[in-house]
Amino acid sequence: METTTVTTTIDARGMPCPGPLMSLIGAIRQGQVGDVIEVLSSDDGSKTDIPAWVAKAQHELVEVVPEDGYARFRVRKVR
Amino acid sequence: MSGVPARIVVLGGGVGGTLVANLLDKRLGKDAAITVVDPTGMHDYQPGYLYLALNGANAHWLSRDERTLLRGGVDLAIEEAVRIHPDAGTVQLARGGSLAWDYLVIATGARLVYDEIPGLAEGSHGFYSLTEAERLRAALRTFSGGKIVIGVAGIPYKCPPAPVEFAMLLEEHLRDRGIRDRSEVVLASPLNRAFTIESASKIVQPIMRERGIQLETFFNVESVDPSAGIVSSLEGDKLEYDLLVLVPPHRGQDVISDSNLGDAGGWIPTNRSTLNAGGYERVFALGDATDLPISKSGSTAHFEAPVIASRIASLILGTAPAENYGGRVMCFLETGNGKATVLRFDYEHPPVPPEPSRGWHMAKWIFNRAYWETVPQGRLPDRAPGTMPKEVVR
Amino acid sequence: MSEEGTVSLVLFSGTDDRLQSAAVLAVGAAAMGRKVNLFLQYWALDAFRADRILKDHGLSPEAGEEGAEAMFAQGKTHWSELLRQAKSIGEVQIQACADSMEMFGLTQDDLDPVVDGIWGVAAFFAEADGSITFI
Repeated sequence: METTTVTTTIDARGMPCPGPLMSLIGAIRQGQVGDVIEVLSSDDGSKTDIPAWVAKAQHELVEVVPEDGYARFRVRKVR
Repeated sequence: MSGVPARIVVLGGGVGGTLVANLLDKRLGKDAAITVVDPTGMHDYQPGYLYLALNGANAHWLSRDERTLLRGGVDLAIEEAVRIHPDAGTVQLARGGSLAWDYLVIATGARLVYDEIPGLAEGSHGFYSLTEAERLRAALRTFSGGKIVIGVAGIPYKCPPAPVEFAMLLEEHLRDRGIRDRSEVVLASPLNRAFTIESASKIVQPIMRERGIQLETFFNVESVDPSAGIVSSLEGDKLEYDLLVLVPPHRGQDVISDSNLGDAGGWIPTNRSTLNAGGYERVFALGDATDLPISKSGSTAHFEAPVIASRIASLILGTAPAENYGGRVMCFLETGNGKATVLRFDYEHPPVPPEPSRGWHMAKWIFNRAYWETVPQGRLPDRAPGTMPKEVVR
Repeated sequence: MSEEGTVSLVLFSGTDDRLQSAAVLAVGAAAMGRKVNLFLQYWALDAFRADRILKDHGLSPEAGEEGAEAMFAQGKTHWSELLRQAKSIGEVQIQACADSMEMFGLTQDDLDPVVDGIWGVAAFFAEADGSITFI
């Protein structure tokens, strides 16, 4: 059941460049504090790359929703 | 089929706009009245700026009169579009007056926004415009040693490989000038590796190590302190520099946001397959102007243009649309010392970059030189530049 | 199908400078999406023998001393390697002329694997739907 309100969704499936992580960073920078950015990624690397950046940049990884062949990464802009 | 030509307006005379206009004219002839609207009437070859900054290119071959690149049947209006009215089917122009259209192609590109980052304009250099590349060239000519930091101050940005290429070519340039031993080259990547495509990073990082190019990771530039010579990241890190080369923040053009068609960054929501813009049946977008999280690269516009031309032609001729954009992108990546690799991919096929070779470096050099006579006119066959190799298309 | 057709290069001369020139043209054409066919005759074919391909094939008389220096200052990629790279850039074929094969008494096994096969002159002309360049 969907409980998180997503502000912006970026469908980066099949788009290795600039890639899901870069697109997430761009959207976080552009967004308002409190926004939840959702990135759809079919890239396995995102499972480690995205949480690593979110931790370093001190935002919040709200949840990772697995789907068929891809995953939804939801990140809240905290600061 | 009525005898009245369909009116097609193309906003922007860059690679995407020029190519789509030429392809439509070729296909439709008298069945369409096509107008390209461009504020300067000049077509710039942006991939050349990086080389110009390093003394490898002359400004005179980086810009041409757009009129010389358009087929005779295409009109050119040297005007600035200020409002798009999709429901009324018009575009308002800065000097007054408007153009009515039946089909609209938005190819307005990206603009550079230097003042979003404090200290960027006074404290750094760049190669994302002709004037910036010339200023950087001048700074490098008087540079006699020190620490050069290359970084990214906004996402998305045009040409994702560019900072990596610049680091590689700059390092070679410093060696050629005999000042490499007095210099440090630091690539500050926004990510946890040198380049977003992992297979390309695996090729590039060992070369960087060999050449002593330092890699700082997760460094997204937030501000520059010009007097202290320090660049700071949103992740809380700082780097000292003697010379700072930054990719500036990018946004969509004002006309898009002013028309309430853009997202937070001014990029137009675009369908990844049909390239329809804003959900409108008769409005399309391509190239840097879209919101697609795909490479902002000339090749993207180059491969998108035939899809839009085909879809508009189908609408006009009343046939079923046959072509979708499959996400094809092709980018060269220079690794210095006369070698390069290439990134070729689409939505279904991730890239499999080959070992850097002189062959690919030559291919890039030849492509750069041949651009003016081939790309905007649609003279390159579908399989150029570089075919999708067997390893990629399984 | 490209607007200008396949690029057909007939290689006759077996010196390193002419073979380098052919390799660069093949790379360029491939980069621009043109199909490229190289047709090896006479001394060019001889240079592609497996036991000789990497040996010194000399330079044309025009080269002279300075020419030789300039060529070697260029960079160390051998023309045979450049041709291999051209094949990964685009559709490039290298075919040996059947008549020349007979003249030298060669079979395909005697040739470097970069050579794709053997064509008679008729086959070469059947494939040559664009310009033909003689090197």
